Amino acid sequence: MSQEIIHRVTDSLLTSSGLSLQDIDRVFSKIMCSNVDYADLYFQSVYHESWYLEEGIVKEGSYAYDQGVGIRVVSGEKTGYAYSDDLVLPALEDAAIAARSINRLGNATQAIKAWNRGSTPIMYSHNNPLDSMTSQQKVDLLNKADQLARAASPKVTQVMASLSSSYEQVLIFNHDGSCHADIRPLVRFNIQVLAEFGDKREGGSCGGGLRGDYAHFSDVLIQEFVNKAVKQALTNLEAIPAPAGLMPVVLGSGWPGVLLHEAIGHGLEGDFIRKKTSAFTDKLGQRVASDKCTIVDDATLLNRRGSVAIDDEGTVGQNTMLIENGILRGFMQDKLNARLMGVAATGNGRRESYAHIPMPRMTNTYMLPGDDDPADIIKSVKKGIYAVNFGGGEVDITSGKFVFSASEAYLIEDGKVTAPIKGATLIGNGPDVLTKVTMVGNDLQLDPGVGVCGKDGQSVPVGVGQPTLKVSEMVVGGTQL
Amino acid sequence: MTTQLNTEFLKEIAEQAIDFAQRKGADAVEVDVHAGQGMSVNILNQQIDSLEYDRGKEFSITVYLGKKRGSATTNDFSLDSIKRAVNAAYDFATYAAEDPYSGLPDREQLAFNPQKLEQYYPWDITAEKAIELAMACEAHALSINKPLIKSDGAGLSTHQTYELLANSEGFMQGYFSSSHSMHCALIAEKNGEMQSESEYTCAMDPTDLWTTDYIAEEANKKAIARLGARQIPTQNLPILFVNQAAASFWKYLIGAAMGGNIYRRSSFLLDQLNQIILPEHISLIEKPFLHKGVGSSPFDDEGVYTREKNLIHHGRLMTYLMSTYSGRQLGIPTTGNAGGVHNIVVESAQVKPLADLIGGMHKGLIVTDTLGQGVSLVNGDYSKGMTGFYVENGQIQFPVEEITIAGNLKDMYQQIVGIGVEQDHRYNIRTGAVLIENMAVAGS
Repeated sequence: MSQEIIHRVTDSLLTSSGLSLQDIDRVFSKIMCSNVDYADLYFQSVYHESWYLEEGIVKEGSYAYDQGVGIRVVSGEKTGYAYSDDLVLPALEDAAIAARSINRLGNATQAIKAWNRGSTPIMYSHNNPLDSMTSQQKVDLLNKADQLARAASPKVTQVMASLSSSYEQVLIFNHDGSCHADIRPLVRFNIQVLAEFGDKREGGSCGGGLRGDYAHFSDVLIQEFVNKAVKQALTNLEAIPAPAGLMPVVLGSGWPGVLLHEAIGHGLEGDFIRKKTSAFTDKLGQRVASDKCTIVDDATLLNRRGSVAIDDEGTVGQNTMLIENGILRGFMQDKLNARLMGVAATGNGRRESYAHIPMPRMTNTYMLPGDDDPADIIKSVKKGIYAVNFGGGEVDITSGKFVFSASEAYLIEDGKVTAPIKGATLIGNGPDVLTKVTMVGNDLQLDPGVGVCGKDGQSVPVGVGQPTLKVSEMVVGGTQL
Repeated sequence: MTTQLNTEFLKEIAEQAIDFAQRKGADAVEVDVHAGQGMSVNILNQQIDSLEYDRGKEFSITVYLGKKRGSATTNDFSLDSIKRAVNAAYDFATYAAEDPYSGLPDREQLAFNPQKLEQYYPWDITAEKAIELAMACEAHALSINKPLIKSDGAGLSTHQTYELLANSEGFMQGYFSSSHSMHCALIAEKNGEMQSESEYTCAMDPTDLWTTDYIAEEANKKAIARLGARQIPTQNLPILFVNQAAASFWKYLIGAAMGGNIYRRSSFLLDQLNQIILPEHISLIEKPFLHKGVGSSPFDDEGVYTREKNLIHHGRLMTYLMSTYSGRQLGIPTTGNAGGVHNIVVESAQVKPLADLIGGMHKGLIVTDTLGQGVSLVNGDYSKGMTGFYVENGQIQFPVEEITIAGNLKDMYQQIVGIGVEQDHRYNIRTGAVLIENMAVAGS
């Protein structure tokens, strides 16, 4: 735990803008009155860069800086919100007055006496990743990836690669006198290739990243990303049309955990539970998955893309049990929904930026390993599919129906992985798909650090993971009847 | 209008940045400055759920050093911060490779005298009035089919923006625009089944918004209609895309025609220029100057004149959609499509009322929404989840869910057998319903 972060971030976000703790007190004095249940100020600054290669050359580098403060006033179930991207007192006071306008003014309450600085767990580096390589090294890394991809196969005709990082500082003041800070680095590499053979064209992509710096992208790792992207494109050149209909589906370990994110993750977010719009409402303590399934949302994994030392309301990140041996044990909560439901916040209050109201969001959501040998899982399937890579997914949390789209998948025939099949969308029903999980592998893997989750127009980085697992039946959206 | 949309201040910033970059040694510079403000309210169960005020701004600069390019963005408009952004863009450009196709648009393409389009209809509405409208909408929605309906929130939002584009050729054009919307989301609940549906209205001019009662009634009707949804067996069926699903059906054709996807060879329309890709009764026309059109604009994202043109004429692909950059890659002039299209209107000599299209289906599916991103622009492979209705003997039988539809877009576009007459003006693509002869449906 560190208190050094809070001093560093206070200097960087407040002092350098000419703002003091007395100014923060003044802003709160505009907001606080007897009918305010909760209020906070969320200061944020983000430095971001990205470098982009295509057609064998690094075509562009771009740099971005974003700063601002979001002011939130909560009264009962009502949230008032306003933000300013000018960090000056008059703009903060204007935003405060706008945010509190949901309230008829009650009696003024006591001013905050002294700020109580919270400690932040150390879960990732606090160095600025933009500075962890020289510009020339970043350009060289992309050029290297391009050469590796083109050398991997003569069928590779296009290579697009990108390298990006961001350095985010947040400082949160709560009306209860507590204040919290975090420094969050994030780096990401991605490669996309096009392979052509005859008149066939297929794409493949791969990438990864974490909360850390560019040192993560070793030669070995870049080679691995390149190999996977090229393999995916070449495999898809050979792909036969996918089957259509209900059949057993084996999902590979790692990124296919996007299944959990869509099928149950969103439906277990506290706002949907409180508003009773989720298909999982009132299912706490009930069986929602087979007894082989234990699923957590874990913000505390070191350096992971979805991890948060503290969430965007200052709650320390946690490892929350969602489903234990098939029984629904918990939901993901931010402060507002936790308070209204009479439960504890779970460190899942996240927001895209200072311009957005926080909501319950996932961090790293994954299934714990089971006992099955992945090879036995494949062997157990007479006719079905084995899907090892996916694009995005989507869920309707009310009906529970969700989809996710395979980008690399194979037929399983008589217990053996055979021909690659064209990409197909899989569709299922969240509340019952996990009851059909009949085998769980011993090979838990987390994704390489690529997830972006969208909700109500807000994007946040997330992680997913799972062991190889078998769903006894699911609809595969192919074309072969 | 407040300082937020102080156009003189924003122009001054753009001029200073261009001047500063040129003095630093940039050969060409482009600057985009925008600022906006707005308000949105959300209501849930006749209580305020949230009231949000937004006030954002952004400055972006692209610097060219010969054929090398770098860019930067900041939302801090202090002179120091603007200079830092210029310096960053300059530094990044020094590390970029020489790209023979990069650079500003040719001078004669720039919209120095753009067509005047009225796109600014600010809504002088107070938070109290906005809350009142959203409350009225939700209350009306909850008053119909009472025991089966609950609220998933109703809301209203209003925004206004000023956007300024300038470059070192002396081009500087800015314009105000506005957008307003209202929505109502409902959940229909029966025997443990829950189905959500919503309706929304959006317009540049608040007087063009639908009434709260209409939005409420449509949302209610749609939610009730979803009750009893089920799977159907795996089979081949005709597919009728309606509303938003019809607009997004065309979105892939437009994406595949974008010059960037052509020069990257990542489009199923590669080598299809001047080929027949749709039935000959269908034309797609870009109309950038439609009065109050959501996609209307006198110039594109790099200041090039937009123009009315045929994308598809009698089934034939007439042009790719080019920016200056992708045009130079392919050796053809820009078509004024940097950033995308500006109102695509789908026309057919054989349009029919939607009711007739449904009435003429022996068996088939009506697709109201698709789920997921299972579409490849590279080769046209298409596989998506869907919700909608099963039709038999020209009559809607029941709602469907947890099924997928799959095919290849190249075939799907050739297999269009009907276009609806009713067009939805809420989207950048104005189309009636689209009937496809046959697709693979996966279900039970």
